Amino acid sequence: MSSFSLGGKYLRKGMRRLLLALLLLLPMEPPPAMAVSSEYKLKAALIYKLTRFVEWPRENRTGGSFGICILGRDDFGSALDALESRKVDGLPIRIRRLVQSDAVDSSCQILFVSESKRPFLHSILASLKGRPILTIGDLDGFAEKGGMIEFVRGRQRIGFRINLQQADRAGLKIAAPLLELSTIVETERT
Amino acid sequence: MQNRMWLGRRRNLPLLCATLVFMPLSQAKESVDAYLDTPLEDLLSMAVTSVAKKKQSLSEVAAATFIITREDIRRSSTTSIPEVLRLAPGIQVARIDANKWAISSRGFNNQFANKLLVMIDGRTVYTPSYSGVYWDAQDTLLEDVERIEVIRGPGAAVWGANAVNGVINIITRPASRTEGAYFTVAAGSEEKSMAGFRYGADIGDEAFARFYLKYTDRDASWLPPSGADAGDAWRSWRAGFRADGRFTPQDLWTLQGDSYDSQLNQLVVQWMDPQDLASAPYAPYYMIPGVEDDATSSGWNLLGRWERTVSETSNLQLQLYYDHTERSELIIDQVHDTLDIDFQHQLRPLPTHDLIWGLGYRRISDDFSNTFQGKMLPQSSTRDLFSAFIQDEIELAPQSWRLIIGSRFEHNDYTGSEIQPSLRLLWTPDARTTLWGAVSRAVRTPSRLERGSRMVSMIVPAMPPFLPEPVVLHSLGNEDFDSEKLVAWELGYRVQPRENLSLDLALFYNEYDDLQSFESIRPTLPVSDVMFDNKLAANSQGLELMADWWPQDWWRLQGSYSYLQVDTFLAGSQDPEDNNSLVEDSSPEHQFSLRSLMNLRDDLQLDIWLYRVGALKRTAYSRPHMSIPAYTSLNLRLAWMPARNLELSLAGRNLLDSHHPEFVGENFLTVTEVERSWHVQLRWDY
Repeated sequence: MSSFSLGGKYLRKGMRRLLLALLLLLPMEPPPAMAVSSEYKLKAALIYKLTRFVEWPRENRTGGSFGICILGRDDFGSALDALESRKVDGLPIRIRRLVQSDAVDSSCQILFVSESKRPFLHSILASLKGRPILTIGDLDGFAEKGGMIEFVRGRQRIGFRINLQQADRAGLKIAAPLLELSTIVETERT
Repeated sequence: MQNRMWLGRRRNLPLLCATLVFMPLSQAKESVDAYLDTPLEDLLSMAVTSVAKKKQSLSEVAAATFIITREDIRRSSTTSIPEVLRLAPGIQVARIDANKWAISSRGFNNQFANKLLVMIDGRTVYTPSYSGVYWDAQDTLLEDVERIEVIRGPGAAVWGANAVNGVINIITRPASRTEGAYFTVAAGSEEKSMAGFRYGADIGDEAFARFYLKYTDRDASWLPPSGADAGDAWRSWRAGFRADGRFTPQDLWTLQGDSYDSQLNQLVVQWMDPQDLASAPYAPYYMIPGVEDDATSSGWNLLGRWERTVSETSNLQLQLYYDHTERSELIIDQVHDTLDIDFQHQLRPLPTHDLIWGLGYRRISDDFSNTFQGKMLPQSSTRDLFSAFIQDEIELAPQSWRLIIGSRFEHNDYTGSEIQPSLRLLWTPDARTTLWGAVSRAVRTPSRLERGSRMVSMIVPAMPPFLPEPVVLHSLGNEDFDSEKLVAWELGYRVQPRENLSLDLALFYNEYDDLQSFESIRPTLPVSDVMFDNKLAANSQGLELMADWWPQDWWRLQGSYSYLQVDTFLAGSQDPEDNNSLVEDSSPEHQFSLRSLMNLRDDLQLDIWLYRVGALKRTAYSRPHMSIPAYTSLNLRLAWMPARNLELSLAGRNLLDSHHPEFVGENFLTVTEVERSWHVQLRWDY
């Protein structure tokens, strides 16, 4: 029991420190118009935005959801989960996190290939060739290696590089307004 | 402007509390949500912030590294940082009693293991008293740990003194990734109760903050031979915060702090002063075994960091922290205050050179309350440590050969200047294969205990006529105690033969000099005080092998094996038996671990973890004949997620036996055993 009262003394000290810590949570001025964003939050939003500019072949619509699949290490954290409250063409978005490319199936309409898959990028993209899955990635040269949309970082901003040829082969139609905002590239010959 | 905010905050304390209570708890996903309705053009014109510092992936590191991820921690069935470290191959973790652990890398484990550098968010947490870690004091809300980087082998060239056999970096998540409320509560047999709460929010201007509270109450361990309560139950309170934000898009700041208070119970041996008349009832041994020691441990720390991205190829970092610890035990009371300033600059002066250099200063003040049993001499002191380091990573051939050369230079008050260079070579013949080799020198600078102390080790009863009075024997600090030195040779091979399989092999050969030994100060007498000295040398060699395999997307298997052999040599020591065998015998020669992580359904996980730790012939200087048999531990965890943000789990630990010993501490400590245990846990994320 004596130890308890001793604990009490320290506890009060601890509580004071806690209050100090709480001070830091005071909301400061309201955030100014969104000027700066963390990279992966923005990329998560961009993935969602892209769905407005892409048309998938009709026969691809199996199941009652729109699948956004992440292959490899998930750098988005919880940022992607916010998409699950949205719909694409009336279908609720479902996020799936996949470890290996064997697990990619028709429930994925979008496949984001993580940087961690770099050593296997070639074989992964080869295995997806012609399938109506929009491949997105942010590793260097993703579009040239046969990916469809690559997120690139220019000076502080994010841009797109699109491999139109690859999308065409898979039967995906990319709308003109998106193409106007992007750099078009072709698959490099190896 | 920042100053003004500070003033404003202080005045608004009651308002703040009200805000916290009534603030809608749905901020977590709000910011991404808002973007979803923003036109694409606007999103593309938005400036993005991310740290310019090059993120090195594991395959690019020329060292034996293992990362314990958040997911690993969550699925480990353990609830404390020391137990989580068992996940890392090649790390020796042994529980001495409910609140003490012996933890080491590549051998030299004991209650006062001292060759590991442990950091939490850049703050060094080993105690200057003996250069080891009071593991009971190192905790946080495990959910907010982003990862634990475990580096086996010397990391001294960059990290500095004490990074002799390994570095453990515990890294918490930035506040931007812990928005929202999180609540966890657990109850069980050994883990009697645990509760944790965190709340994080966007505080505007791209700044985020969180605070947490955690309480744990742990049961006593098993007291051999009868299984009585070993008197080592403990409870602890902990609270902390972290805030991250930006002054400008290029300037990132972090401010964080913790405060904790623990009640650590232990049963100890108390030696009584034969000179004191009040001790007469305890004659002739003057020893009271099993004294209940209600030890306490508390402390607080505050850390600030500023990172500036100067350009795409240049990055500055300035970090400052203050750390206060108090520990009160029957043997001695101690207070430490540490101030640490650290500056780093990372740059690419030429396209093929990645250069990093830094300067550091640390001031440590301590104050001890000496007892008959334990004395630190002098009772209080202040010491300064100055350091500088430079490392250049040179790309010898594009994407295939890299040379990493660097050294750290330190000046400490005990041994003066120390140089700790390292040379590493990395070859990546293709994107899936890495081969690396390294040779490095590291030192373990003297601790306070080794330089100035007087600890009672035993009392020899009077035996008239030979011994007219009882003799108190001590272990003594030595003013000339020097740094322990290591030259380490390492080789590593990492390969990812298939998308779902990766292998990691590390080999090492270590040569130690001037290792800590105990020398009799009157070798001609049958019993005498002993003094710390540096008259031991050792070689160690070993390997660590790790395999990570996903047979299916829902099933992961991770296995590891480590082998270690240590041989000691006398370097003038006159007390061979005592000194040598502890170093050789206190770490297991073989360790195995096999984990299976299964996602049976989207909402159901089954995790099985089996590990085996080899036998230890001896673990304490003062207990030469006590050995620890090998043991195998089976751990299970079943988790059910009825909703995405809700998890209920049931975990069982050490299921194969009702109790087993893992390690025996020095003779003032009661021998205890680890029991089979189970606990249920609820996690709720809002």
